[in-house]
Amino acid sequence: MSDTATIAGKELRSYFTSPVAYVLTAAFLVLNGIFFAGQAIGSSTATMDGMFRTIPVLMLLLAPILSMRLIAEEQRSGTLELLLTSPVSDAAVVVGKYLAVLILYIVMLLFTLFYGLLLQLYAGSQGGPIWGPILSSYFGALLLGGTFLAIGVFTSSLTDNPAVGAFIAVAITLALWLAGNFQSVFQGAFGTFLNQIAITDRYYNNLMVGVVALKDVIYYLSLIVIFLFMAIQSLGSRRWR
Amino acid sequence: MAVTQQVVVAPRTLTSTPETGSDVVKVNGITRSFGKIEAVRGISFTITRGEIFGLLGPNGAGKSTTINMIATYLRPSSGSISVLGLDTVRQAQQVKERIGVVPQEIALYNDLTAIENLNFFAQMYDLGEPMIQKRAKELLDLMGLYERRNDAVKTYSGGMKRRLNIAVGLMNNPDLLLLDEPTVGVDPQSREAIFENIEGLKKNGLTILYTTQYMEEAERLCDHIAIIDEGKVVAIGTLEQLLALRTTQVEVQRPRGLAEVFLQLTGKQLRDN
Ligand SMILES: Nc1ncnc2c1ncn2[C@@H]1O[C@H](COP(=O)(O)OP(=O)(O)OP(=O)(O)O)[C@@H](O)[C@H]1O
Ligand SMILES: [Mg+2]
Repeated sequence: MSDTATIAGKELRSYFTSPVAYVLTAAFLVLNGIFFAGQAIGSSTATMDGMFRTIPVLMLLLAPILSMRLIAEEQRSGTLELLLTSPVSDAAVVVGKYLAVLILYIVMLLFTLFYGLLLQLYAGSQGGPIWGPILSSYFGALLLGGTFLAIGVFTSSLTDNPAVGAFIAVAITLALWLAGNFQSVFQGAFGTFLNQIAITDRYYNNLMVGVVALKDVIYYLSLIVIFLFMAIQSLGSRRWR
Repeated sequence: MAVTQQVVVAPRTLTSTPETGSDVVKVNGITRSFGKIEAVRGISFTITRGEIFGLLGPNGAGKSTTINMIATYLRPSSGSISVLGLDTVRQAQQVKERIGVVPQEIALYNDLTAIENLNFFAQMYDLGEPMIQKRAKELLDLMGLYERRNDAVKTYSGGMKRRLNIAVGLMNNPDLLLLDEPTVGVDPQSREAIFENIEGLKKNGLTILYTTQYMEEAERLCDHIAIIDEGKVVAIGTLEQLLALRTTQVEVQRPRGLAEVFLQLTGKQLRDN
């Protein structure tokens, strides 16, 4: 447990001591701000839907960029060998890295609360924003983004080339995103399955409109566990590959 | 550079690990393939407590593959290894607690300082904060890096990085130190400092496995030497025993030491192509 924290702490430090994290956070906030403002002003309603619609698209690219170095860089720099020959478990390495990037993402999300505050301040006379759906949207953005990041951690463990890892992450995420579109191609159980795994449907259709269903939460948590588990397996496999 | 010989490895008593007697490493007929490449094809040797054991061989001989298997980083395709009486596959976790590893390639976080690198890796062991600080200071002193302890590693020379990597490998006060070609890419001053450090560590009872391609390093440091080539041991023994091979097997006008034995046994064709 303390190993996990040590690894997460080191990773977080290197995020916040490099300009990359700041640039990406700024980009995340500016782009979200544009779509937030566009929707809120355009529709004259106190809504953050513009932003929440954009987050999956932004995270499709941002999650791989944020996570691509996490394990690949350890391989490239040779430090993975020191980690794997120290008593730390493969799971602690993977989970520590994942927690670091998840915390960075949560910080990014927290900054966007500022937009909600703007609505509260300036649209207060018309009743202000409805916080229920906004909070469930945040929860959904956390689950969905958290899943994208777990995919990124997994693909980072496959290669010592961060760009290759990021590319594979985008491919996997897109495949899961678009899976539902192929439902009609494969009839029967497999088609239903494809529809079930469509990664953004539960976010757009349920969480964003204020419906928090246990099965949706379990769906995202399961994907996170599956991808982190595969990352752990991929680290372990280098002993016998 | 002044090298101070300090006691940074707690002196060991032979009774500290009764389960193993005097054998620290026992390698039993290990092989390792990477796909079709047979990197190691049946290597056996024993390293006894307190000695420096040299693995001498040309490029691609299988030195790193062998040392990585002892370090639990790679699993043997067949055969077995025990370190301090513990199996490196089934009891990998306990083995890891008690070994120090210095990989062939520099393995450090370039953006972190020397102190931060040492602290980070040491936190993976159950040492406790006061012990970590004490050992970090001792080892930085020993390696002549104390003055530069707060500088990022990316500002270090090759020799300094190498010395820091050795310090990292010693943080957990290991019973066995695995050094994979620790003098590659360092200047003669650093190399001499590293030799003196290794000799000091041996004096304090540390058992060391040392791989090298350089005969003179093996001659100077090692109590026992295994010459390996193409994944096999071609000769094994003390320096004297290996030198005796030369006088019995080769006609020589001018004795040139281990170099001659090495080339005789491993052949003269180039290995890195
Ligand atoms: N991960 C790997 N994948 C494929 N082949 C490998 C791998 N590691 C080593 N090899 C091959 O195994 C053989 C032995 O390599 P090894 O690194 O053990 O040699 P070495 O004696 O350490 O050589 P050097 O002095 O160059 O470090 C070489 O042919 C090498 O190309
Ligand atoms: Mg090697």
